[in-house]
Amino acid sequence: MPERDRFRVAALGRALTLTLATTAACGGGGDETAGGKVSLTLGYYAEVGGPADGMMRKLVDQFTKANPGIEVKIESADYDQFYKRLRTQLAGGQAPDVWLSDGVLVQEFSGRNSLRDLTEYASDINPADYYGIDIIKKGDPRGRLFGFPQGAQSTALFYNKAIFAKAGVEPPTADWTYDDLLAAAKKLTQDTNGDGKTDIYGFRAYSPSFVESWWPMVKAFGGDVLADDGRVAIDSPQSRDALTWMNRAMHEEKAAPDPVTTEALGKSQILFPSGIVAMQFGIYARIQTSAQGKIDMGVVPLPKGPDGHRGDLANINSWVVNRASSEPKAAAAWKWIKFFAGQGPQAEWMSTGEAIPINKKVAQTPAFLTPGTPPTDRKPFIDALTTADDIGLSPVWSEYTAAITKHVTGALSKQTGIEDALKSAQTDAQAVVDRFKPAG
Amino acid sequence: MTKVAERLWASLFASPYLAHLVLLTAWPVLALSYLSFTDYDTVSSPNWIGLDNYTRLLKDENFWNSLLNTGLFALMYVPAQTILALVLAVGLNQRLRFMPLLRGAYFVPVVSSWVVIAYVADAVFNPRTGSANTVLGWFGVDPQNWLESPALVIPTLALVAVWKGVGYMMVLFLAGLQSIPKELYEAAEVDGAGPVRRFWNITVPAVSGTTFLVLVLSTISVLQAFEQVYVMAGGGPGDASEVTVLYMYRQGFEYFQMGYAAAVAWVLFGITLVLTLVQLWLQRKWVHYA
Amino acid sequence: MPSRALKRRVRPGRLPAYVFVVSGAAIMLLPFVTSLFNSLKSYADFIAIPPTLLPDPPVWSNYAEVWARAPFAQYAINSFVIAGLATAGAVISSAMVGHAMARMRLPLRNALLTAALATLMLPTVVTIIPTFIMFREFGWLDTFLPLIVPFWLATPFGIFLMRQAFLAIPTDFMEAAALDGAGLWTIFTRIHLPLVKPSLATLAVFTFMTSWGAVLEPTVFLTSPEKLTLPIGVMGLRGQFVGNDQLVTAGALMSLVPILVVFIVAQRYFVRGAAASGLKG
Repeated sequence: MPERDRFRVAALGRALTLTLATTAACGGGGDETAGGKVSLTLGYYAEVGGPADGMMRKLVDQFTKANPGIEVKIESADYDQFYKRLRTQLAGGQAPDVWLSDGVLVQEFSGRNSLRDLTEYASDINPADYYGIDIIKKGDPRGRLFGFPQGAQSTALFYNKAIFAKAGVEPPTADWTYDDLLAAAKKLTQDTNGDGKTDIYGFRAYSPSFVESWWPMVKAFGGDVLADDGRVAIDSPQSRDALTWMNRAMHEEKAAPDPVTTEALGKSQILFPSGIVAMQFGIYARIQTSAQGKIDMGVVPLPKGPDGHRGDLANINSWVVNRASSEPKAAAAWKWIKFFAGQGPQAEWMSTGEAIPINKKVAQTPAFLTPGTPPTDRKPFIDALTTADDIGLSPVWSEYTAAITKHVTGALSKQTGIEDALKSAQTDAQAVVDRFKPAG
Repeated sequence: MTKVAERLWASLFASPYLAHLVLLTAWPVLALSYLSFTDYDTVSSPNWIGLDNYTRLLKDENFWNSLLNTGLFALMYVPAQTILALVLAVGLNQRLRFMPLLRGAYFVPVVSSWVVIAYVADAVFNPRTGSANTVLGWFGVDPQNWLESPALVIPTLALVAVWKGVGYMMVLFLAGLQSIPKELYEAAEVDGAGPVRRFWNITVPAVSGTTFLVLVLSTISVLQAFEQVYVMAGGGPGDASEVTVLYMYRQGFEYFQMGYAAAVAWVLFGITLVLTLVQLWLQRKWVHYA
Repeated sequence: MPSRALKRRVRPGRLPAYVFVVSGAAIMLLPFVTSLFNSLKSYADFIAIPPTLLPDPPVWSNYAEVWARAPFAQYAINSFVIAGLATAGAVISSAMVGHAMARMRLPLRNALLTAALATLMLPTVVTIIPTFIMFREFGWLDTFLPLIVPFWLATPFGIFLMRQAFLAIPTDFMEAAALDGAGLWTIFTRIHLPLVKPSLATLAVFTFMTSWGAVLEPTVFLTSPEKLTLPIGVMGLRGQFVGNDQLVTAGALMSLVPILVVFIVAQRYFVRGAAASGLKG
């Protein structure tokens, strides 16, 4: 009896291992072809029924009309739900054949062997025609291409023209330094109704969306977050200078709301659209909310740090192909990716206002650069995109950036000293990076 | 009917649950136990790493922080919920005009999903627009940041959880109250016992069985409060509301460390089990079954 | 009839009770009213400084826009089908199991009871991956089955509730019936079930709510847009960059309407019993 029990337990363990192991390997859904057609599962995130969702469906229709041999099944959801589901699907071997990945997550999937290397496929296009390919390649330690650009985000300094005009402050220029930024911010900060409380702040320094807050500042001051050799580099005198500048702007000059005030005023992303701050660092997509807030805005390049660096960052949202998908499906997926990168679809996608077109020809058209709605000159985004660095891409991006954010936010809220915070951020984030072992 | 036949019948009655145990309990539990000893990342196949996940757990400050947050949440939520539900049940257990309508009001938050509650609670606790700060202003109290304040996020979550859940627990108590013979109250009243004494001496002991059920259910639900914390606070600000089940979710689903998440799950399960056993043991001292 | 006389005397004291009950109800409902105002704002109005309470002007088209964006009627039907079938299953199966545990010679009764308690403590978040793999093997992904069938296998909470209810029935009822030679099934359906109606109703409402409000399982198991449930549909309205909190609020409130209707219709079945008997005297 005990002998048999032990046997059963062992068998059960083996069965379990086998199931879990095979689920990862097999995948992409069953049918290779349905009625002679390749059936392609396409996943993307968008607000359901919103303009982007509608445009994506329209483009899928165009694609299937042009490629009668391919049938597309759409799996979409809002950003949050999309990734929640995707992670379970990956574990169960049911992930879509091709899906839209947030640029910062491409390495998280490829580092765990979930994505197909697209380097070979990309030999039939000219990489110089598109933005972002270099940044995606840079994310991989061996320079492989695990995703293809779908839309790009880069950073610029947004300013509210009305507040500047009213305060009689000269609008920002491409030559601004961080000193200029702070000086202008101080002039713009006002108590308009005389109740002793600030009503308009010159600048938004803090945001939980660090791409628009401490990260570019650390880089502008000459520091870095994740060095090119893959080691965490946040603990440096340059980072200290950047955070000191931020704390001066927020806590001493009070020209920018500190983290607590930011929350009291509403979340950081409504400050600019509601006219509480005169300037913000923003990615391209922030134009949408600002326009909804009816702000007449302009954009200029980010200010220069002490050594002339602007610290520009770019995020390249990408189409990625499931490694488990069959050859015909992967080929069909590549067709879709190429279709989406084409001039027609990129121009249509641009009209949703979600992202900077990755097709250079489209991005150089007046329709993009000088659209006639604020900001009327969008070239600063293109300039930033061409010189921008990646956002410290890594297979453990979500986890290590969370570790750093926790400590940096503590320093910006004055709960901890800057030196201590940077030291802890360095230690914790490095531990996260060290824990990761790349898959075979 | 023979004993064997009776047992067969009983097993037949219980068969849905036997299937439940095999498919929905045993299988996931076995899988989880196994995974907790591996480096499973949800994508590649798992490798056996022995007790590594558990030793890492002991040294993981974030994990201990999450336990602390969970404990705080439970301490604020469980007693408040239980007491308020009982008081409300007594208040609503009367023949008043429009009673069904009034009772209905208490059920509106109950039937709302957490998604709805998150947006409705924002109308109250949004630091800028919410009515909570307006009300505080009437009393000269400074506005608060509620869900965005490290000190207030857990109390606010507990408050919203009580607001949402109290109507349901109240109905459980209402059902318990109906079993109390009216004669008991009448006799006490004749003896000159006031409403407060009647409540303490008759109502409270009589519904102690329900109280126990409510306590156990609230404890378990607060230890598993994933949906609420996820949609309302997301663990923030910082890690001030990162409760254990959320921490586990992050590890497993956002950081690809399902093996580690499974270990966290086991510890959380152990804690829940111990708490429930303690409550079971304590109930013998204070629960009176009629 | 001393009791009647006593009750009359208590009546004038009803005013505090009214105040208590009504103010409590107001606290429960006011947040919904405020968020109703929010749902009628434009985004600019929604984020305006200083904030406004009332929308000016009310943007009724928010509701039309939400309605046009996603098939909410279809979502509502899906939610009803799923929650309805789940509820029926949970009530029937939990009553059977609870009965076996309370009133029958069930082998390993205590062990099973402990197991039920333990099951209650397993958060779905951790079991979702093994469960997903299982349902994939069954070929049930992107169907309603993973959201319904588990409820037909008795819920731990249901077992507890029903066991408690059956235990409260005096045993002599059962013995008397057994002497009459009635079968176990007859005892169950004819005698015991009618006696535990309030508990059955409580369980039904609880299960309906659980199933109706579920977020994680439908997110993971359903992929076709036409199969989604209401809460998922509402969450889908959230944009990554777009400011549309006002639309999501409108969607959230809209999703509340069907369940409120169900509740108002159903409430007489499960609250009346409690309240009416509370007044017996």
